[in-house]
Amino acid sequence: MYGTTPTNTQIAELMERGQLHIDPFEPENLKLAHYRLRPYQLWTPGPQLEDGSHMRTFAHDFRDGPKKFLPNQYLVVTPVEHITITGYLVGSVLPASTLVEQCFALTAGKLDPGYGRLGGRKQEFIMGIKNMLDEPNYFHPERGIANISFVDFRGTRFQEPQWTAAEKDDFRDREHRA
Amino acid sequence: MDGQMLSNAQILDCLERGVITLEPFDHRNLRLAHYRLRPSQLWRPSHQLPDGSHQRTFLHDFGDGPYEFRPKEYLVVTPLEHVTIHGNLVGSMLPASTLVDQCFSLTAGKLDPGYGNIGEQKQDFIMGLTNLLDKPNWFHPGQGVANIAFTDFRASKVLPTSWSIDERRIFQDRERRRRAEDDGPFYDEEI
Repeated sequence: MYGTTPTNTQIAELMERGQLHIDPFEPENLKLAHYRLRPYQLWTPGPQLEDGSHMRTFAHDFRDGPKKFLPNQYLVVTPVEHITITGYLVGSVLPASTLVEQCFALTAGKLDPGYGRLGGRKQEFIMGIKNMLDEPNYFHPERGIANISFVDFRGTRFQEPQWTAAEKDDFRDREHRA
Repeated sequence: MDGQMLSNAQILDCLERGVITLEPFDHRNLRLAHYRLRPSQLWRPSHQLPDGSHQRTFLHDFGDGPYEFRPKEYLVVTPLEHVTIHGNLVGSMLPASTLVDQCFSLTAGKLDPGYGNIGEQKQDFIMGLTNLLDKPNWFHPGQGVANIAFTDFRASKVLPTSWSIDERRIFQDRERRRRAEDDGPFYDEEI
């Protein structure tokens, strides 16, 4: 058996069993095999740190409405939904197709098993959003930001993943900053 | 049963059964589990509408050859292939790896079941293509633009899906613009 993509029925079952949490959860945002994530807050990258990451300062809360991006501006965005994965699932994120006609691009990684909690604390999922235009551009939060789907590896043969030395350092750095 | 990614043999089977359409279809572009999409036309975003989207004006047809992007220019690209999905399948996009050595980036979403036609009209799949360089850069259409793969959920138990109010509004705004370009005002009930 190989990793397979859960349908909305199976995503709902995973949530009932506590192997996946999407909070807050809106049934209308659960599509055939994706959950539609909504943008929540924007953060401006500040000075660069030794590990290559950037400090972040709060820039905007989408409850206050759309945000006008500066030409070519890149900001960090957090979603409304807090996601935790406790089972052997991997979450993968696709940009919302509405970004294309809004002229924004998204940078997002994957969510590994265990994602969502760092030592008893909530782990935020961050993505990068960039205005692709040479002019100011409004981002409207109601148009969504990304879609998350999952690949289910429960019942498959796998080796327990190990962290590399670089990943451990990165984790320590993040913990230190938090 | 969970969703399974289709192999090329299964993609062909879906094409024969009309579950998926990819037109024009060229066998040479069908890989192990992907179909290579070719760029057709470029569109320049113009002024921003109240819903956040931008109007587009036609700029270039790749039938006329490569296109020279301005430094850091973002354009909307439509593929040559018209894709429709009739069954419980989802299409997902990966940028063509040739974009890396051409120094372009791609923004693309997914294709949901029912994708491809709105009412009687063809629904265009749009993607965003950006020149990542600070200097002019030619985009060559022969290198492709994206690869589409399909995940099949037809044998799976699925919940009925619905649109959120925001999604209905997006659809209504798009329809309104399409009709306004065609024959005048949009009379449907507001949400």
